[in-house]
Amino acid sequence: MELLRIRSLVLCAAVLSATLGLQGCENMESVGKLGVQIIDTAVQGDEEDARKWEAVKRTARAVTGDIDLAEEISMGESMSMAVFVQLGKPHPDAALQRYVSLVGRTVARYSERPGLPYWFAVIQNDQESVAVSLPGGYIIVTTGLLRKLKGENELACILAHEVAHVAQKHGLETTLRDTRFASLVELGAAFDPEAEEYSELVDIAFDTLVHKGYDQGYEIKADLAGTRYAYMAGYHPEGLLPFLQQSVESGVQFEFFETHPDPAKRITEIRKLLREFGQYGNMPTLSARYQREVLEKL
Amino acid sequence: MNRKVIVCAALASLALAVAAQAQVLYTRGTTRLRDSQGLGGKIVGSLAQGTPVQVLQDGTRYCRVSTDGMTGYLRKADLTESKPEDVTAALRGAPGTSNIRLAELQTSGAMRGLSKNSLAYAESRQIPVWARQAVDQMRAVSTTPEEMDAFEKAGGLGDYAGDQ
Repeated sequence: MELLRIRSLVLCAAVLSATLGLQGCENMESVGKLGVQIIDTAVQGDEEDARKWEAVKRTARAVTGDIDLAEEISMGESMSMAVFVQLGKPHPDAALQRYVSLVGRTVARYSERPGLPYWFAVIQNDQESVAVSLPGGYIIVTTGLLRKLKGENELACILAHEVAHVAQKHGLETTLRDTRFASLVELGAAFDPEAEEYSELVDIAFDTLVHKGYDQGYEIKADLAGTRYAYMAGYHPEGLLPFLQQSVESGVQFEFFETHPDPAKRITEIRKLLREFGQYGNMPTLSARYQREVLEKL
Repeated sequence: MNRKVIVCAALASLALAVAAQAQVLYTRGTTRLRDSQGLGGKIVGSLAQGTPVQVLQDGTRYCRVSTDGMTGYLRKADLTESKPEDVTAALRGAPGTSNIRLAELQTSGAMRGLSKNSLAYAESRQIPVWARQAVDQMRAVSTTPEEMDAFEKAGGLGDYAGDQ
């Protein structure tokens, strides 16, 4: 009886897909998403049925070019391991790790996706001054970057910038642009742990996001969104400016980029946003807390 | 003709007013409902992340809302138009995470253990054990709502930022 109900629902979705699909790709994507939602609703609470329909869901998602939340989190988790291998081991001070998590989660609450758990880590690496954000909410910073900051608001704005990449799905969009060349079925199979395609997908995503970096459009979007999250959280919102001002002279930025976005342009865009906030001079930079919780521990 | 325009405009205004009255927003995280605006207001309830609230009055920094039989004030910054994602289902497959809500996940540090996909990736790419453990440790950092609150209070942030 239950199976009949599911079959009926999927049949309806398929008929709908066939009908609307004739009208173009955009509708096809919408209907594909609807199909996945219908299956999810129909199999809710029944793990056996959910397993049976997983292949159909993968194919439907392949049509949409979409990645679901569990897959997004899993991809970020896998990529995090690769980041640790590349940049080094976590800093051993648990209190430092906790402090960075507290700052990060404080700003993440004001993002477009406050429901994600968001995980933060500090890597012991003074040679690199970088922050990395990965799908699903994994955000990693190096001690080299932390040493260059002077206040908690600067850390908050940098973490918020990374949160914005996750919350606005910049990483997923960038990755999907790379993988759309793969056949629809291959994309569906890419999240099967039995398939080699999954490891290849993670390698592509890692290379795209960690080595090549986001394009300038995404960087400016993340600057503006991150500054806004930090302001909403109550931080003095000029936290990105000191590092970007240093970047104008040194050329060193806090993320990896294949083509370096112009820091002067980023500063101009942030200043435009800051004018909307009105008076914020009394908002806290929390420099003393940053000194105590971070700089004295490095 | 003019009368028709006026009637249409009146109906449109009425529709907008009704829509505004019926506006439903969601809490971004665990949030305290107070009986008046600002930190001086008595706490009348604690709302979990994603709780729908009906906006009764939209102020500059605070909204008067009602939810589940309670009425009070929330900071506008703590409300969002879209219901926050529920990660419970997405993380159901992870070891020890069955039917555990987000707040509990963060509190209990129950997010231990890599997903099947990540384990397969680690094997395939010969990721060293320490790097696998690093991700596990990263996910185990837990922050309770009480700890977040104390952190914000000490820094004059979040709920405590409004009255500066």
